[in-house]
Amino acid sequence: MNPGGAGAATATPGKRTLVEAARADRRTLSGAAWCAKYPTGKTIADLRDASFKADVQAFHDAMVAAATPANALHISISATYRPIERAHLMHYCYNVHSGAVSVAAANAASAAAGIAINWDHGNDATSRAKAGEMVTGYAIAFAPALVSRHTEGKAIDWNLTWTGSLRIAKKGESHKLDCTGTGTSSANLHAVGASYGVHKLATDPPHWSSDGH
Amino acid sequence: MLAAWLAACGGSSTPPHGSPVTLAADQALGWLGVAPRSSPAPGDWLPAGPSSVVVAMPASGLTAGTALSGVDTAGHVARLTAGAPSKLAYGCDQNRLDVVALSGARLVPGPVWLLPANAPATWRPAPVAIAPLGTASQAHRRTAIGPLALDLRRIDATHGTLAITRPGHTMFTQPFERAAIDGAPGDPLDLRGDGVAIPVPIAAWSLGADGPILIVLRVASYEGTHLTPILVEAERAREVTAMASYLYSCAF
Repeated sequence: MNPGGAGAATATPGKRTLVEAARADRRTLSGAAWCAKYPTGKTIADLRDASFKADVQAFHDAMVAAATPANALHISISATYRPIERAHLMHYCYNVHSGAVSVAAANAASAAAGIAINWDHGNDATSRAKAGEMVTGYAIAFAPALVSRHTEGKAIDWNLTWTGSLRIAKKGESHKLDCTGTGTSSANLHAVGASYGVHKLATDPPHWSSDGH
Repeated sequence: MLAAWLAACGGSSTPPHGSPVTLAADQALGWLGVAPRSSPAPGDWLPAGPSSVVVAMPASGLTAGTALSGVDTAGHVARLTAGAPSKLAYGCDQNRLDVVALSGARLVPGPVWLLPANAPATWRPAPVAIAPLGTASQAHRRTAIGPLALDLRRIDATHGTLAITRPGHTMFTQPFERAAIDGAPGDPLDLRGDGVAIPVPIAAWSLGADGPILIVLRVASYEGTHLTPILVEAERAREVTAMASYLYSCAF
């Protein structure tokens, strides 16, 4: 932890000295150390939306029950719930680093979100470089959203693979659909998932959510 | 004979000569791999690692121990050997891609065409130049790919069309769409860039003097990168779905 920071030294301290103001600042300067905080969930149990969690678990269990040994069903989860704090930090480090958002605006937003980070290292170049350390630490390749189905606990990224035909019925039905391909390509599996309230987003292979978005 | 020609390239291919190569409808074209960077580049879609080439799973038919040739975007040829399925750190949240990694000489970072071991002797894969034609606008972008032109046209805020043409002859058309996902920016598609859903040609090789030409389109999605191969022959063109791959990067 690194209490204080250059931003505090430039704030209006009232009757206090600048040094006192800096000492009173409990924020931690931005940098790569932040990336380890607020980790993304990688299990169904991590999903924060109770309804969607139950839906995903039921869909998961139905696939496992339907699969034969010959299917060799393999389920690999990449991400489920992303804490809103992590999304906030990813969003603002990306935008501070690119210059799209000023450090002052980022500090205001982080304060409003209750996250004790100080994006201001005293000069723009250092502030952007430190934000860039976080961009690298998070391995961000696309502008991160502040709010998404993942931050709501209503999305799961998982790879579903099997061999041959996975025969599985929609929720509440007995007629089994013939699912071939993968979780990405099988329209029948997408229909089965939808019957459980787990909807496929067509353009992003591992992404399923409460509404397909 | 293909192997002998590739060996004769000495690490760099030569421009193809001769009549067009004819492909059987069921001709296997091999795999599309990616030559990683030696170290990560922030914001870049390319993976980093020590392997010569990686192929994202399922990489069907690419079994451990398979020896084959790979051609990079600069025409360098390398003899490669496939390893067992493995994991490669890629993207956020300690994500690990399932890949087949191939060992051999390092190649130019980017797409690599991995030729099947039984590739016909008539194949002479060589890179084809990709260059912008004119100035792109938000609604239109034109790219030359050797003798072909690739046009992107925006239809509305989230839809467009891709067309590949020879002079006077449309070879291939395909619509594209930026799907809605909660939290994404709502700006209209801007074809000057390489944003989500916009197909961008990043590699092309010709098998002979007059083709066929294999084009690789990179299409960013919210959570990763699609690599979509399009094969353009003398009279037809088609997406080669068996070679397509997707690199998952990060939850959105």
